[in-house]
This record gives sequence, structure tokens and C-alpha cells, in this order.
Amino acid sequence: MPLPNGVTLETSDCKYRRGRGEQGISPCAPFLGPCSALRLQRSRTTGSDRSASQARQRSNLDSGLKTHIIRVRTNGLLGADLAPSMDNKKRKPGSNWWYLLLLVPFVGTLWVPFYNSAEPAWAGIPFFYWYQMLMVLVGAGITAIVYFATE
Amino acid sequence: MQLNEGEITGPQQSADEQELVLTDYSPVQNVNWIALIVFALLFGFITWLGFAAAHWRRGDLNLLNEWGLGGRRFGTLVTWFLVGGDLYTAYTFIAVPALAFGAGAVAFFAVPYTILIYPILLVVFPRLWSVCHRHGYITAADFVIGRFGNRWLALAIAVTGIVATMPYIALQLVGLQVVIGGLGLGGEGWLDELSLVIAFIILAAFTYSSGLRAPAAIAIVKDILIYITALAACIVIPIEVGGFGKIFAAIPAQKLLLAVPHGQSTGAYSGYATLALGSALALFLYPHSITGILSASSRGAVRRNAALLPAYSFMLGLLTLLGLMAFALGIDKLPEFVDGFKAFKSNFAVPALLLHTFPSWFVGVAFAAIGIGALVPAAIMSIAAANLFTRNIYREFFHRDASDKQESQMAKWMSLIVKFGALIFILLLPSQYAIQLQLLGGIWIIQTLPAVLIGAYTRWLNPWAQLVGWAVGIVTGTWMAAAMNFSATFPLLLGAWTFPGYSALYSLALNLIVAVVLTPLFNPVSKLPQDQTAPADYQA
Repeated sequence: MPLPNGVTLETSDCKYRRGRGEQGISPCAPFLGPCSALRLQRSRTTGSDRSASQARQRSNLDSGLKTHIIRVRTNGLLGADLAPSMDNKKRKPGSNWWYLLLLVPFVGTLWVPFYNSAEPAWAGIPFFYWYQMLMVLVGAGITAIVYFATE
Repeated sequence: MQLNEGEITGPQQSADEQELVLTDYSPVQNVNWIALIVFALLFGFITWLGFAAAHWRRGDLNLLNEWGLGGRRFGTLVTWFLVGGDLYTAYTFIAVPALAFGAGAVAFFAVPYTILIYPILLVVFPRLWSVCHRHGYITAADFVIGRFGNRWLALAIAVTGIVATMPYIALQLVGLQVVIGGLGLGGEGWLDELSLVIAFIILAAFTYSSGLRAPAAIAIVKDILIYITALAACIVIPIEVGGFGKIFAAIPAQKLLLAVPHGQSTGAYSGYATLALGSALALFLYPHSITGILSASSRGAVRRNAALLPAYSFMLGLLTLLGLMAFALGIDKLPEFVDGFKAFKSNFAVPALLLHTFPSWFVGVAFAAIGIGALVPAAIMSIAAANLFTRNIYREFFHRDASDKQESQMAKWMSLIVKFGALIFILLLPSQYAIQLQLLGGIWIIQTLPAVLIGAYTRWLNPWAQLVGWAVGIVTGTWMAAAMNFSATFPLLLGAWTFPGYSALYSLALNLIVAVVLTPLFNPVSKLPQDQTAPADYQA
């Protein structure tokens, strides 16, 4: 395959290469075949029409383009790149509510008057100290719960 | 991890703050040969490991992605060690307990600070990891130029990152100096400088040859040693003193808790909370944090680490208690440590406590843990700064057609320049300059939050408006710190109330207000370049 300057076969996983040009498409687009079309379409989407574009991509994937893209991707230079994003699409709607749990550590640590006291002491350790150490465990537990709930 | 040592307290502790600043040396004590030999053996081992790491998960080190990000091949466990070793630095292990020793309860702000970084890591950074992985971005500024298409905003991000990182590297040397002094090498003046130079030549050489793989491999050794040390100290010392109850009973009331605010001021409470929040927001904006996260092999590895990394926070809390234990033991009054405290002030608290409590061979292990703990973050910081310079200054502004090999070669040279700059800084200037610059570094780096963290969600903010906001934030934050004589908290007056708080957070608020107000004004007159990233890239 003829390769443009600066692109070697060894580094052909194009996701590691940064666009040299000002904007727009990845430099490896020309020899990606159909994949480049997808990229073009994607790079036009902006933050404002995010949900619309997500919906469009989903419907594209559902309407038979899916197999096409996967074939191109796995045969092509991007490897198994698309697979994780497909998994993500399966995420249950509403599961993002779990992220609200992450506010607990913020509330628990930023309201200082709540814990700036010696009592109730535990094994001789003032509340101020053991409470904050406990919050480390609570915070870790909450990130773990949210991790598993949104996995 | 970011720490504004000696600058953290509310106004009432300002007398203590001054004591924490290091001065020049005086003789410390006799050389502790057994500890020195153990220390040297462990240093020898990690030197070998650093060079051998070049062959670990072999990749072509002539690619910046391989040299500067370890080929993004680190799984959950290695990322845990790498990021843990990266964020919880030697200076942290020396300075946080030192602050507890000198100023008491306020030092514990490090605990809420390191609690709050993990929700942020879990929510924001998988998105950033995905988009950077998809597009091959190596630095935060790479992402910014892809997202906003404005090379000047990216330049601001890159320069801020480099400038904020340099004093941080210098501070790692301060941590190293303290343990070298603790080994008894501080006496002659030139001996400790020689040790420092040797340590840094080792660091520079293995970073140059192995890139990010070296600190990743060494972090595993260092973190295991640190965990052993922290656990041993927190079991043995309370037993020796007679329980935690006795330790806390020996702490005077004004040090045991934060001062309760009085009058129309939120006092130490708002200072404590804003320091924790502001430091947490700033931490993952530092180039070395982003480098550590981007080197993870998968989005899942980043997410899992948000739940696993708090183990380090727990250890940091234990280590902070060491400062209180040192105080309870009256360790600075012991004749053998008087000279050490004269030379290093409160920073000598942990080394003295370890020397006091443990047999020499274990002191060697513990000091090696701290010393190696200086090299790991210093290596990652210099790599991160080198990546930024190479990608976003050299390649973007000077040599657009640089080949991959030229790019990685430039980064290797840059990592040397950055490190030796830090070394010369520490050898020639009083270390309080490094401490003050590091405080400013925290204020500066947080100004990149709109472009990097908010940019991960929306590109609503106009890049030129962000650039103006960034400049306003840098100038006002620097002014606040300078006006308060390089104390981290600034007494913000609103009506009749005073809110002492972390100047980084206040200047960030101003930065955001400016950016939000200017965005609708700038949008009609500036051409908005295309976004290279697509919404799906953030979920991939």
C-alpha cells in the first residue's frame, strides 16, 4: 500500500497519529476507505447537535451499516477500535443517576463545622481525625459502587 | 500531589508558617552507615530497574507515544502504582506531616483534598482518556487544539503546564535533601549536594533512555516500600507511646482542631474547605497527572483506579498523623535531632521520627522509599513537561514537519533540560522560592480548567474568551498570593463578611465569569474552527 510521508506501516494504528493539518480529518483518512466517510461525518458534528448526532449514529449502526463498519474497521487500520463504543451504546438509560452519589463525599468533607470537634472520640482519636479517615473509605466505597453500577 | 506547604493556614497560624521554610544547612549528625548502605543498595536496584524498563512491554522508543506515554499499555494495577507514585510525592510525605507537626489540624486538609479528587477522576477522566486515545493526543494542549482549534489557547495551556511543573520538580529535590540529611550526609555541605547530583544524574539517564516505563516500573518498588513504612510506623509508634489516646492528649487544644471562626469571618473553615476543593480541582490538570492517566491501557483502567487509588489517601492520612506523633514525642527537643531541625525545620519531623523509632536497616528502607518517591514523580513531571514542549511549542510553532523520531528526540532532550533546571534552582537558590513558586503553580494550573475539564463536556466557551479569562485568572491569582505574602488563602471581602479562601479557587471563579461573559460577545466576531472530536469519541 502506498503510504504518504510520515506514515509507516509499523505505526499504522492511525489513532496514535495526530492531525498534521490545521483542522478536519485524520491524516490517514485517505487510505481508510469507507471508514474515512464515517470520520468525515463525525468530525462535522459539534457540541450543539450532540444528541441529534448520537441518535443519527445509532440509527446508522442499526440500519445495516453496522456490519459494514465493523468489517472495515477490523480489516482496516483502526483495528478493534470501534468495539468499546458499541458496548457503551448498550448502557441502560437512567443509569447515570448513580453519579449523583458522588456528591456525598463533597458534602461530607466541605462542610467543615460538622466535623471540627474532638467529640465523639473513638479509641482516643478525636472526631475530626477519625471522621475524615472514615470519609476516605466512604469515598472509595462510593466510587466503587458508582463504578459497578455504571459498568 | 500539590501542596502549599507552610502556606496553608489561616491568618492565626502565620507564625508557624514562617518556621516551615527551609534555610541553609548546618551540620546534622554522624553518618548512619547501615541505613546509608541499605539506602544505596535500594537506589542501585531501582537504577538497574529504570534502565531495564526500556525493554518492558517493548515499543519503539523513537515514537513520542511510546517514550512519553509508555505506549498507553499500562493496565489497572500498573496504573495504580504509577498514578499513586505520581500524585503522592516524596515532598508530600515530608511536608504534610511537617505541617501537622508545626501547625496541627490544618494539615489534615490533605485528606478531604485527596478524597475529592476521585469522584472527579471517575466522572471526567474516562472521557478525556477516550478522546485522547481515539485521536492520539498526548497532552492536554493537544486535546485543546483539537477541540477548540485555537493554537494560542493551546499554547497558553502548554506554557502554564510547563511553568507550573518546574517548581514542582524542584520541590521533589527538597524531599530528597531532607532524607539525605537524615542519613547524616548533610554535614559537609558539598556531600549532600554531591548525593543530590548523583541521584539526579541517575534520574535523568533512565528517564532519557526508558521514558515513562522507567518511573512506572520504579513506582511499583517505591510504593510497596512506602506502604510498608507507613504501616510499620503507624503500628509501632502508637504502641511505643502508649496508644493514640496519649498521642492526641499531648497535642495542645489550638493545634488539635481548627480555630472556630469569630466575628464576621468564615475563618479557618472556609480556608480549609476551599483549599481541599481547589487543590482537588487543580491536581488532575497538572501535566504529570494527565500523563499518568493517559498512559492507562483502557478507559476501564482509569475508572477502576478511581475506586482503588483512595488507598493512597488513607496512607497519607496515616502519615499526617506521624507529624502529630512526632510532636507528642517532643522529637525536636531530643539532643540528637536538634541540628537536623535547625537545618530542615519541621520537614525533619518524619525523618527524625523514623530514626528515633526504627533500627538502622529499616531507616534505610524507609528513607529509600521517600528518596525513590522523589525520583518517580520528578521523572513523570519532566516527561510531561517535555511532551508539552515538544508537541505544543516545538512542533506547533517551530517545526511543523518534524518526524516522529525528531519529535521524540526533542522530548528526550527537553526532559533533561527541565530536570537540570530544577537541580540548579535548588542548588543555587533558597528552597523557599521553590515553595512559593509551587504555590503559584497551583494557582496557574487551575486556570486551565475551563479548556480541559469543561472542554471535555462542551465547547460552548469561545476559545478567545477562555484565553482572556485565563489571563485574568493568572494575573489576579498571582496578585492575591503576592498580596498575602505567598500565603495560599486570600481574605475575600463580600459586604461585611470576610471569606478567607484558597486564591486559586477565587481566581478560577473570576476566570470563568470573564469567559462566560465574553463568549456571546466574541462568538459573532471570531471564526469558530471545526471541532476535530465527535461526541462518540468521548465514550469510546
